Amino acid sequence: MRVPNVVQTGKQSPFFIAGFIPTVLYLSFIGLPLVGLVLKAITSEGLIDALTGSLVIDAMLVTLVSSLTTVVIIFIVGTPLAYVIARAQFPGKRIVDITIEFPLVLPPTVAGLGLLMIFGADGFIGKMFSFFGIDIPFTIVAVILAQTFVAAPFYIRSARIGFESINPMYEHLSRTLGRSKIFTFWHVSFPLALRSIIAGLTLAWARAISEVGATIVFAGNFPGRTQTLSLSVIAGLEISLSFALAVSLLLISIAVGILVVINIIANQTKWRSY
Amino acid sequence: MSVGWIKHSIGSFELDYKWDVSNGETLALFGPSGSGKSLTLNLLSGFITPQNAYFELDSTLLVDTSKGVYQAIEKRDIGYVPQEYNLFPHLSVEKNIEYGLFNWKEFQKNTRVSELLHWLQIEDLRFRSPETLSAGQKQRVAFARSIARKPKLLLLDEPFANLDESLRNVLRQKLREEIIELSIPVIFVSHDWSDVEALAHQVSVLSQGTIVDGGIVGKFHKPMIEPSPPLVSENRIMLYGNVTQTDRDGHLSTCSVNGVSLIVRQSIVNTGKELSLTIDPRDISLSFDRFVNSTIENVLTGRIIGSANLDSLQTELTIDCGLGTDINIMVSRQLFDRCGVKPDQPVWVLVRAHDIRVK
Repeated sequence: MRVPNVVQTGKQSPFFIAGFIPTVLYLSFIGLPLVGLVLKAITSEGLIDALTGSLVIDAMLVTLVSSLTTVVIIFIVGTPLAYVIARAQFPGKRIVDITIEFPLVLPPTVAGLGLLMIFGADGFIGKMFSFFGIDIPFTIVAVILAQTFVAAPFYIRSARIGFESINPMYEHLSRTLGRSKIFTFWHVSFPLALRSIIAGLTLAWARAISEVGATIVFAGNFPGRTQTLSLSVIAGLEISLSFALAVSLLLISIAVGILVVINIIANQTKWRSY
Repeated sequence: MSVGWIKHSIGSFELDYKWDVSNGETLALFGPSGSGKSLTLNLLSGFITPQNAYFELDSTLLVDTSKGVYQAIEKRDIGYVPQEYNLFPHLSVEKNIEYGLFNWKEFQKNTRVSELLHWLQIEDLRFRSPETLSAGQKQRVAFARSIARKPKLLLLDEPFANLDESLRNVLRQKLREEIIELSIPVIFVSHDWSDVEALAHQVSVLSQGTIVDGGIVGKFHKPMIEPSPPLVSENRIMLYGNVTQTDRDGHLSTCSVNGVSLIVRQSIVNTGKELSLTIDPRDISLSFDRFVNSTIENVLTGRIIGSANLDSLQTELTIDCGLGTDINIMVSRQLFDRCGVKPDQPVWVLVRAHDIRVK
């Protein structure tokens, strides 16, 4: 069979060159500080001591407990919410949409202050808890609330896209086969959106781990209580640069791990979108 | 037995349809694209909620909008085979078929699935994943899934639309035998009069949402309405060419379109005859590596001359493969990003011969 020979080879187009230069500049801008930080960290003295010290271990524990709890809360509350937003049409949906995504554009410190105004001793909800002798600000609960506030939109957005990408006919067929809406959700919608759900949870977890602004305002930076790894970098700068570098190295390793997980998920054909 | 009527409007389009089908009888909804055939099935199955309707099945009232009766979809006992078959992609063939058998005992489920697989002669597909099945096999499995629960009414939306002509003829005959065995009312939609003649006892001819003709098939001639092909999207690719070579035995012809050879699945005797060819962009696949030794008849070399992200999910690629007209193809953004597609990149455009419609 004859085929036309229309492929141009050799000379690169101006379009390609115009895109190439900014790409190199941007990659250097992102990559060089990271490389510099890693090189400085691994060559600095006291790396092992800093990483095995009680400050880092405590911060690691606070980070793990708070961020994993955050992810569980986001999953439980965010999944039905994402599904409703993806499937239902109702008055005021646009307002709900904007509200859900608002934390993405809100400065985290402002978010922290807002949480303090509500959950603080004089706040509307804070007063109710105070009545029972429970104080939320400057506790690990405050860390979790701050992380949930900033990280939830990442999960809800991803899960929503996952649900929206499912052909509604699958759900309808499940119903014609005698299955209820709830069963259909768990056995059709959820597995078909699983890749987006896992990717969203991973992103939300990453955001929770890196959270600083809202947490420092609402929960403070108390070692062993509310100090997460990200917050300990700030505290570390006051102690010694090598300590801050060591914690940063740890956080970069976690970030790389999360990126690897996200890429594995993205390439998993069994979790692809339908 | 199923009787009822539906009045439903979408914008300026108004559907006004009534039906009366006995057990063991097959009713065909015949008409051109946009006449309201598939909408009727979607309203009957509950995929769309009707504005005004009355719907009875085996003397059980399912829908009566005047009295506010609207039986839940899962309680209607209606089997439905959509046009795209929509097998659950995360479940095996076996799990798809037994999906509706939730209140059956395990051995009953196994027996029923085996019985259906045997009856439809697809036993070897039992543990296969839907994505590995051909269109004909998917149709069989979707049919098995829809009747596994022994529904009281079966709805089929263009059951043969995704199959090529040779397979259609074989499956029409099989489906006819299967429908007779079921002894339930069957309503199916088709734009192809051959389907109506092969399967239906009675036919309703729909045009712009209303019945314009109908009666008992056999005493009835093909209506004058010429349906347009339903699978061709608005973005269909129109090409014009001449027959350069014909192969009567294989029912294949070669056409020259702007100097590019295209093989079509139709035997055309007159070499040099002018043809208009239509391709649905959804039937086109792309390869970003050189594509050789395949069973796909048409592999065209082209290059990407443009791309536009339509939304977070889809990217539209514009491809020049020398046909004299650019081809616009939607690809998933995920795939687009993963393949690292760049402007001016060579691309191989793959089209099966039977996906090219000839006029």
